[in-house]
Amino acid sequence: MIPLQEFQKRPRVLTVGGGLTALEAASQLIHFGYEVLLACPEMDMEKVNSLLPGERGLPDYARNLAERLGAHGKFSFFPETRVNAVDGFAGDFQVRLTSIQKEWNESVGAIILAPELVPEQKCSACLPASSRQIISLDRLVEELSSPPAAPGVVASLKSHSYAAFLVGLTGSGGVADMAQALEAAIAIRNRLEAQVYFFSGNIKVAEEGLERLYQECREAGVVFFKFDNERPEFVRDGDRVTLQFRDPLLGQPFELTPDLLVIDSGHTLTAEMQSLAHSAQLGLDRSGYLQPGNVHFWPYGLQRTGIFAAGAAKGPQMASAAIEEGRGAALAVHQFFQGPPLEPMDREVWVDKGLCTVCLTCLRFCPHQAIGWTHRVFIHPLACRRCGICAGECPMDAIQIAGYSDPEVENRLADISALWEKEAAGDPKFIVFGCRRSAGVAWEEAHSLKLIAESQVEFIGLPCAGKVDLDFLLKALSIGADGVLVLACPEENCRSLHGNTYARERIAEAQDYLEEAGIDSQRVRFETLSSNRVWVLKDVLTDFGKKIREL
Amino acid sequence: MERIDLKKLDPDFKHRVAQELGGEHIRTCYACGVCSARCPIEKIEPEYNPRKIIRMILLGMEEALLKEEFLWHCSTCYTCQESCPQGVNFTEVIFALRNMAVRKGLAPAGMGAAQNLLCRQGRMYEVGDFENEKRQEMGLPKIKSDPKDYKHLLEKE
Repeated sequence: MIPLQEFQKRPRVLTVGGGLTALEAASQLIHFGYEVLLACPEMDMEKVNSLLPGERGLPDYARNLAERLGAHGKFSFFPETRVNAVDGFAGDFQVRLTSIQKEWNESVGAIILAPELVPEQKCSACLPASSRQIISLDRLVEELSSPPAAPGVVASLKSHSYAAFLVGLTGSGGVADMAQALEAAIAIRNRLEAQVYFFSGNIKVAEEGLERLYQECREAGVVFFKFDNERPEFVRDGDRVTLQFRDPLLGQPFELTPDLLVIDSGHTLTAEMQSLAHSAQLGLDRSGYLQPGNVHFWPYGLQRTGIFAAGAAKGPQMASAAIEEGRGAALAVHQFFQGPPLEPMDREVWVDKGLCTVCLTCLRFCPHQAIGWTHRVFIHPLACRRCGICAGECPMDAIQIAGYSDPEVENRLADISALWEKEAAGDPKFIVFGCRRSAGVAWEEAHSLKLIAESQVEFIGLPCAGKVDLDFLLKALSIGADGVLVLACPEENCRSLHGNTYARERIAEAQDYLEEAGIDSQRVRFETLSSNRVWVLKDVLTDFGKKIREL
Repeated sequence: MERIDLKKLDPDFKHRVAQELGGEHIRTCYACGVCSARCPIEKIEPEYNPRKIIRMILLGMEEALLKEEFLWHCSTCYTCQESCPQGVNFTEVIFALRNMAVRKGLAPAGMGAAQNLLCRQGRMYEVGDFENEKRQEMGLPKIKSDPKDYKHLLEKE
């Protein structure tokens, strides 16, 4: 093993972002006594306050925060600086920073990613070429916040005009967009006495004050059209765009040629941040925000220990949540530094020096980037989350995990074989391998409720379904099991991100081998199961038992 | 169904309903449909659908709505009103709509006949010798048709 003193927790934190979340996180970390580096990808400190439209009082807060921080000895500020690459492990990252003048490395113990989002015009593709009638929500908000006499689309409208808002119909449309749109709708209604029609998917009100705002809109006479799957069609006639749609409640087709058509813009991570997330293997969720859509990482975690995501980077949010997010992320970092000390882990996870050929399969498969190599492979004690995917993948079986090592599983199989020999033949015998966090929990519950009808079924828990080894499956069959079932967490719900996918792929591989050897591949089956679906487990077992009987 | 231009409807209709007694909260409806789900009339006569009626108000379909005969199907059991999470007093809204329809002369002919009956005898059903004999057997006093108060009320409109 690498000597422990070579791993360390540097009490230095890199915070990336130019908004209030990043500022607040930096300020809290200084308060906790860490050295803080703040890299703002785009803007300088003075512009920070202009980032927070619509929340009175917050710009001042941000300005004060920035001034206080700037004077602190443990604080370094890097304006217009991007993070290009992240190397190393939790507690000791090497980051590559680039500004206009230079490119350099810094060593930090933890990283908070709290970048602001940039507007994206989602609807340009779905609309006919833009017309004077159409305006993006961002621009409308800008116009509404400037004096009423200022020239612009709003100023050119007559009173009692017809306005239509399209929100969240072309993308996800989060609460922040919804709040902006509702505020703008009510402003247009009041300022121009306009007839306002609001077309959207689900009205999102799960944020402070939004329900009230929605109610105010209704009282003011804004009419809402809520669509499930369809959305209005755009019919273009010269310079005018007409919306055609069916009212979901009446089933009656309507049309409207609004004098003003407002379309929400949507917000995304900058391209640089997206490529950093990709190169540092942090993963993005389906909508392209940081933190993969996986509840196990909430609220600030990512799949790499020591790197945290905060604020709008995880999806558009209300400005009022920015401070809370910053503080939360700072606490998460503090918790990481205060958390489990660096301890040798060779009794938990070990790499057999004699067997390892440094093929680095483990390094490529580790979802947590916990594996490094010098002249041989080592596993970082802080970054490793003990999922065992590396051990499952290792072609030499050089990596072993305590409790789930090859000899231990083999012993368990031998015990099962002895047990089966004692019992009379009859029911099909099969072995279930499963993630102890999902299938394991379901199994225990099914057992205590006496739901398992099959008499000769044995369960072997694994730290993650991704640990399942080809050898395990074949050995299970060789000791007399009539079938082997592998249960993994449902898709996008694996704590180690891809453990379930790897397990599925390995089962498919095993099935190929079985076919080749002339054994029916249906004797090995892969299923997904979450911990609370005890009844599904019962059905899966019964169904598998039935299949095995047929064979 | 023919496509309707929203601009040809009357967007102020909802505000006018809101000004009627009992119609104040009509604009807060978010179309959850509890009123329709619990309405006993809707079970027999699906045309009468409180949620759809509110939707027609909000969209300003005044003409189409006020001439509908189903406005008069409501039995005023108040179930919708009792179960509305948004405080829409729908039974009161129905009264408001009926009043508006009457003002426009859109009430169905049957309603006029009923009004005449009330004017003439003070009751929807005439009390004759048969009913009075029954009352006598039960020790109740005889009833005479006396439309005075109703006449006063109904002729005002």
